[in-house]
Amino acid sequence: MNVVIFGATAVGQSLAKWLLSEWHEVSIIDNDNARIQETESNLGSIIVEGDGTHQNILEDAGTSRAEIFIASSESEADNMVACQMAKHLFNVKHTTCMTYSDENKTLFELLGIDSVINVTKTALRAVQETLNVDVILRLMEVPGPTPANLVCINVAQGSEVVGEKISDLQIPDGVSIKMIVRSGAIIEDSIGNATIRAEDQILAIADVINLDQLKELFQ
Amino acid sequence: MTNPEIAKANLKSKRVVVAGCSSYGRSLAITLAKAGNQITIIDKNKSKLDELSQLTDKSNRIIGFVGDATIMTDLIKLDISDVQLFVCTTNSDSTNALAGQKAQQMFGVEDIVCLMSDNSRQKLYESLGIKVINHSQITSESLASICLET
Repeated sequence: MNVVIFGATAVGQSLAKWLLSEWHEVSIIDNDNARIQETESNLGSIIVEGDGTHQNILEDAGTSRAEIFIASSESEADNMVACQMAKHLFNVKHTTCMTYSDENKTLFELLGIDSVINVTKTALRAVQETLNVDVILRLMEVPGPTPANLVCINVAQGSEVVGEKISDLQIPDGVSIKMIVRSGAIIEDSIGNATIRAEDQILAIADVINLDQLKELFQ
Repeated sequence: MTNPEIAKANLKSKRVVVAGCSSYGRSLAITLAKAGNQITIIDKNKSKLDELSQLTDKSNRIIGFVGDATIMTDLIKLDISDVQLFVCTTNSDSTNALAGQKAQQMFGVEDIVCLMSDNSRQKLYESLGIKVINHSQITSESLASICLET
């Protein structure tokens, strides 16, 4: 696919890197010398130098051939203008706009921008997950016919499952418990016979749709 | 009141918001107020608003508001839903487009005027129902015509 990115910010550059690794055609628009040099040394000559809210620059970057346009500059106002230009002057099918708050989300959606992504919120969620705010920590996605995650369940002191045998639990469908880790060591007993203790870490494969039920069980 | 054109156009008083107390915004606010309209001018920079208030007297019905015309809470404080005309005169085309479209889409203001400096942006926003004054084009045309005359 042809993708045009406006803004060689950290977000813009890492998107470009990933898209290039997937063999898509990518160009990035930016007019900041430091960012241009950084991008060229990391990703090669994919930079179009200039103002991404200007039609000629968008044209130079190949926006008329692009299936996807991503605005990831630091300015939400510039991102909006660039996405509107991509949409209305170049008929780009999918426009994505990065924002840093929810201030403009509703407006941008009303204006027909296809995806509005709040970068700040995404980062916040990621940090919350690593801080184990949740009982269940998603470790990775597992490829397969249904969307599933490898998860780590942190058994808290007051959890209702403490003292229970795994085989006596009503494990939701689509969840398979694989391993129990206690004080950093794997429990060697067969999984079904193991009795759960507080602060155990339980590794399981779980269909994404069953995560809420699983969370409830171990609460 | 010196300009009869302006006087004629404003028989009825309008509530107008001017976003950006630049030299354009400032002189526009003064002109529209002299023609009998109620003007609120919004700028992030208080000193700009202070400069304006030194140029005008109290009879001029200009209210200065320190705030950001692209932020919902400030627009709510300004109570712009009954505003007839919203004019964006900051020095950034993108900021003008953002503030203008917010007033248009989120508050239903009908008449939006934005200052811009680029032909393609002018074309885009005119097609989206915004009146655009392309100041760089007007200036370069005036310059050219004067230079050609001399």
